[in-house]
Amino acid sequence: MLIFDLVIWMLIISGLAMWALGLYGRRFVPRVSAATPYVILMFSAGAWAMLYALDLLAPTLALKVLFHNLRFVFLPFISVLEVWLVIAFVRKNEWLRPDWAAAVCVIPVVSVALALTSPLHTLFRYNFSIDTSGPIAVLQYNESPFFTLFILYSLALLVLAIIILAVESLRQGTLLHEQTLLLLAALAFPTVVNYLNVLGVSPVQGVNMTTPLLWISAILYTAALFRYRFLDIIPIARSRLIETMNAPLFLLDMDGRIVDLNPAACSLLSLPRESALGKEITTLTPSNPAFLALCRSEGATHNELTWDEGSSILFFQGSAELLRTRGGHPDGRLILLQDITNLKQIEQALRESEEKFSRAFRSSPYAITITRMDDGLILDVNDGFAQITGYSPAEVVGRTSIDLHLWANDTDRESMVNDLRANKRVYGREFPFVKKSGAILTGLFSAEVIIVQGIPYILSSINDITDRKRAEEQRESLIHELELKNAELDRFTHTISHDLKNPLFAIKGFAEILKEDLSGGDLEQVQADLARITAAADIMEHLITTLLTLSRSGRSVDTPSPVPMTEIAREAAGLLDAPIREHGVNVVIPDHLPVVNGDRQRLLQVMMNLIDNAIKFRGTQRFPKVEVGVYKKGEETIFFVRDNGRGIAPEKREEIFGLFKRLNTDIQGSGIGLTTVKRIIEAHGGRVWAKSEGPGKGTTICFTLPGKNV
Amino acid sequence: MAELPGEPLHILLVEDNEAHAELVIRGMRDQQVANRIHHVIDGEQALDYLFGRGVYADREKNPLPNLILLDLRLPRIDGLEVLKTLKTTPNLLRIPIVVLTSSDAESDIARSYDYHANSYVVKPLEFKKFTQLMKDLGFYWLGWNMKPIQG
Repeated sequence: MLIFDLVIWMLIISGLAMWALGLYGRRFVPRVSAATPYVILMFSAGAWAMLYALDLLAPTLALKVLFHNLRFVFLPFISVLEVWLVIAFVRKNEWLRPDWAAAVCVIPVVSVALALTSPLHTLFRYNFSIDTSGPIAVLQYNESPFFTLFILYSLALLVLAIIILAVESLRQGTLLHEQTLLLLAALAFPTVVNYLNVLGVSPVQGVNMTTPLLWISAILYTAALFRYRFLDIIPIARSRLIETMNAPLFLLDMDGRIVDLNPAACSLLSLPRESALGKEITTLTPSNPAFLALCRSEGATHNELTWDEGSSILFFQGSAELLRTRGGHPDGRLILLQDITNLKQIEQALRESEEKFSRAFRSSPYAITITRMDDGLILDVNDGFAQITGYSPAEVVGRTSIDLHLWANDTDRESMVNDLRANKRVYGREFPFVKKSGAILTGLFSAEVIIVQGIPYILSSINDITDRKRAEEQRESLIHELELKNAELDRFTHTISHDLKNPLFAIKGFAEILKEDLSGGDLEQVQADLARITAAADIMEHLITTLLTLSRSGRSVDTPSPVPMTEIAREAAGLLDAPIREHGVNVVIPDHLPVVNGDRQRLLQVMMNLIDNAIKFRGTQRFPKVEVGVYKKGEETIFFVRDNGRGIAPEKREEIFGLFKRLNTDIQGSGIGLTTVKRIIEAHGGRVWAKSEGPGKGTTICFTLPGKNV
Repeated sequence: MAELPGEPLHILLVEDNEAHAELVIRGMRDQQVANRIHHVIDGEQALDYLFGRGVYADREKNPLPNLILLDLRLPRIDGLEVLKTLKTTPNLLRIPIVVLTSSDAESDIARSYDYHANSYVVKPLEFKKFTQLMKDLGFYWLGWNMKPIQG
């Protein structure tokens, strides 16, 4: 009775356990492909066990045969389901083809049909009777050759499932080793017991212990399911992740041989997986102390290493972990290399750009400042700033440009800041700035807003263009001067050609007339013609002389000598003695005129021209007077030649110094005299100007001679 | 050759250079193109003559000319100024004005025409050419050229 109870309970427990597992496994059906065969397998195996229990419990032969035959509705499919399960477990879903499935199911379907119709034939089990010789009353029967075929077929399927599982697990190197082993055991146990039963070995006579011992399989399945969750998606997801991740991963045994590696690791070694497996890793990698250290490390280690790929160098963050068995013995190493080459390159680029900026900042000839936008606080300035503004960095850092009064116009600064807020940058604007010395500099100002850790700063540069500006102005004024000179030259050429042609024309004309008059014998007319010719020649001579004087007048004074102005003025008056006497001019020259440094001959020319002009333009004055004198205005000594003649209109005061400007064209003159004066004075570095109260009120010509008074 | 008209023809010569004036007068006289040449020596005198002012008030003695020969560089009032004044004065603007000068400056030529000079002639340095010019000027301006109707 004890054995009977034991067998019955084992069958019931096995059946219930299988069903419970089937129910539990249903939740994985949508996610895990192995779950479907698993669930069906559990329910079928559970039903088989329960029906076996009912068979043993049944009191009559008819009932026993009924339960026996019903058992064979499930039994033939169990090995089929196990094959399905294994195929799904090793993820060879492409093998789950309907035509193959149909072929595999032919014998089981025939078996079911024969089992259900067994009383009618002898093709399956037949000739049932009850055997009570053992501890349990069991059915006895004869078995047909087909039944034997069926049993062998079922066993073959089981063996096939075991082979598939073993081979594929090894080939794929899946990390689900423990689950695989459990699954193998769960599959193999009933198979072995069944074989023993076929061979007639059974602890309980007449009872196939495969079914009562299904609870052991149930425990193995349960362990796999609950302890290792072999149906769960996580291990699969993990293995997928490992296979698809870019980081090379090696699993080494304690001798450094490669047990497993992922595709990234294969590509790093440039070897197919099959060639790498089992090799010592040090023979496959470039000699690399950091990597070797990683491969020999005890415990968890992290280090950075470089990997020379020939054409390029890779950077890895390597980590190694010592794997231990459950017993705590070192079993292998997991080595993970994370490619940080990009990170390194970025880091390098960043460092270089930082250095470049820093160098540009330090060595720029521009004045560069970094200012906090909110309060205008100056955080840093470069050497260029010190050179341009005169402030040392220590004097400005921590202050604001307003404190320093750096901007010549506050409105400029405000407009710049507004512009900067609106456009984030200001480029090449010209502003005046105030140096430390108080001097104004003209700066080309550019600025940009930069954000550092969320705070806006102004990066600004000032290019000192004061000198350039000055040079530009100078150039402008030189060009202007040159244009004036050109215009003067133009006028000069035309006037000269005109003024020289006129007497020439007269000379030639009267020479012709002279011929006629000579042949006519008109002696009086001949005299007149000759007088005309002589007069014209005189005019020409005078013109040429004055032109030569003019051309000499503008030459710079190379070797200045002391020139006593009183003496010069008197000499000039002496040379003009004839007109002075003729017109009764009163020439006043004081004794105290200073001695100046200059060209004696040319200063004499100045005095002569001025006195001569004064006499010429005496107008209707009955008592013409010419007064030479000097006065001081500030530091300047100003000479003057004053007359009481016809004077000049205020608007013509500038004009009279122009070449060939003859205001009074009735007065005999070349229009060169005052131009000559102007040039000589300017060649001495002085100025000359005219003063007059107006027409009829006399004229005063003033000039300075800054050549040091002696 | 145009027929010389019976009534006397008058030329006003504005020329500051006496030698030049004499050469013009002699050139004109030799060619017998003009009955009378009135000579003034500056711009002021020229305007006084044409406006019949001062000593020139007597139109019998100083009639309006049929042709004006005008030099450009003149004392007191410049030749261009005289030209401008005449050509903007209603009863004088039709009198043909020939600028007769030794200047061939572009600016002088341009401005003369701007002020509506009727002709611009540069005195040739060759005396033979000069006398030819005087003859041609006389024939053209006092012969071929239709005189304006004085109104």
